[in-house]
Amino acid sequence: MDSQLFLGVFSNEHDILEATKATKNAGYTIYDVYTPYAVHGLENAMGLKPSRLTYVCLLFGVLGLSLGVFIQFWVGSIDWPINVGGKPFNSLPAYLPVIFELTVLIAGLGVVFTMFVRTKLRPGRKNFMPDLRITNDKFVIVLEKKDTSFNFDSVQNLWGNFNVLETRKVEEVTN
Amino acid sequence: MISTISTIPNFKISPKITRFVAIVSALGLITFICGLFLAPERIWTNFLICFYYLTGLGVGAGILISIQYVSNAGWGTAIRRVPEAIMGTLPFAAVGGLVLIFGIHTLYEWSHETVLTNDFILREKSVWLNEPLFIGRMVGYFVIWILLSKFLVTNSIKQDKDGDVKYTKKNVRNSVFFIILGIYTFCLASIDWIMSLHPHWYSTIFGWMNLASIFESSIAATVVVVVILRHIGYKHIFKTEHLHELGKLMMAFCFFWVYTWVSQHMLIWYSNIPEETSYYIFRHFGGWGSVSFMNLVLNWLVPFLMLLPKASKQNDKVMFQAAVILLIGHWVDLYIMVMPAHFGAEPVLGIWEIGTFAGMIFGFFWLVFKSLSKNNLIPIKDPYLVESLPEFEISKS
Repeated sequence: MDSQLFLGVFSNEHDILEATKATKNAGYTIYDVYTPYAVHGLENAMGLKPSRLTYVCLLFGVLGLSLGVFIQFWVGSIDWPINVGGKPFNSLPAYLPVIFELTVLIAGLGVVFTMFVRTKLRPGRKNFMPDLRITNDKFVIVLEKKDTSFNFDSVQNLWGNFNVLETRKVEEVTN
Repeated sequence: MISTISTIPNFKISPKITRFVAIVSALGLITFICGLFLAPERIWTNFLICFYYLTGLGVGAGILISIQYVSNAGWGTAIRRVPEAIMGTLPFAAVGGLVLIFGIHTLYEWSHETVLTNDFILREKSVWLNEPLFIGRMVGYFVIWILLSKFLVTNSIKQDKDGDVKYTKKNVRNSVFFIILGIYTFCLASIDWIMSLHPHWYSTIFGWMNLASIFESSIAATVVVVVILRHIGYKHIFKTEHLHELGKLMMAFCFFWVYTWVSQHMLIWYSNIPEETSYYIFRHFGGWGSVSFMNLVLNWLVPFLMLLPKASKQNDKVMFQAAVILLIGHWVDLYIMVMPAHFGAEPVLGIWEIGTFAGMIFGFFWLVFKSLSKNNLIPIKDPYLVESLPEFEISKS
């Protein structure tokens, strides 16, 4: 199968940021950008949309909160009322710690597992590695060839302005 | 275009604002002096609130700076001059402390000999709660805070000249002392000044709750100053990222405050011991109940919901509103701690409350801007500055 992915290797954070911006502005389709660590501002340079996981988190938080209120209310006032120190059966101050913990627990676990499901992350999954040096000290942009007008030579010219070390077609590399 | 460090213009306060602040502060002072004759009990309680508020802002700013030094944090270096300026108001708070000495007899039940002779518990507690020791401790706290804050600020300003790393190292050491001593002394100070208004009552988490609220309010004051500076044209050094980080801290400590508040309230409610519940009995019903409810709404619910989305932490307007709500909420928090001790029946709000608070808060912000205009607006040669403002290093090379 003919590979449709092309990559450029860069040596520092500033270059990859500027190169990504320029590539994006020139209208190429960026498949992904690989860096050894989180580079600030890269998500804006790549034009990624804000993550929707925050809404999932809020949703799970509200779910945990309602669950915390409901469980304690149902257990403490309806199903098995126990008199503790003469307090009313339905007393909010006593519920607060468990409500708080359940909110945090369910929001935290829920958002992590949603992330696993959405990114198809699972034990034993083989990851796509365009170049093994991204786990050490190199930064890599991978471009996707979407249509026939894609010209790799002009990309190489563009990246030349940003001290590109190496450009090539991607062969499958997995770890 | 990226401007270089040398082109940051120093900042000037317009005489119009100075005149306005001078008038408000003078009115506050006049309110205080008139109040001394017309309503001494009201004015001393309000003076205590304002004095404690001002002290808390200064100490909280010191803790904010110290945490950054000790954790080798780079993000806040660009905005560090703002908490440094806030810390510079501590000597004025110390003057307030000296004035407070004249109000001890009006404010504190334990300072009366006649009360002591009839009250066994207060007689036992007078080992700690007596006038000479109270004044001595107050002087001690202020000496510690002012000395450590002076060390932190002068080292930071000296570094502007030669950029030597040794100043940062010295400040890391000072910060360790500030965190340890500052936190312990402020816990004790809150017990001395606020908790002893109810000398029979005690709560072991009281100091922590106060620390949470002063830290939160000094972050809110920092946000107010940063947003104003951004508004008048320093967006290239006080960046949206800095505002975002401050917003995260502000929201976290807004939640931490309510966490400690609930911890204190829930344990007292649960154990139901008369000498502990006496504090909450008259803060939970009638007019005081509404103030307590408003306290939670202003200090937690509204700012928390406002600051929850990422976009609002990067928005000047929302951040400014949230910070102002927190600053007002902090006053309400102190009001509900101090006032019921003297005005048990119903909450009071009038010229004495508003006048003194307005005079204090306007004077405070004016002092902060005044001391900001004296030095460079950012620590220009701090080794960590590149982490806070990465473009500056690139423009230099």
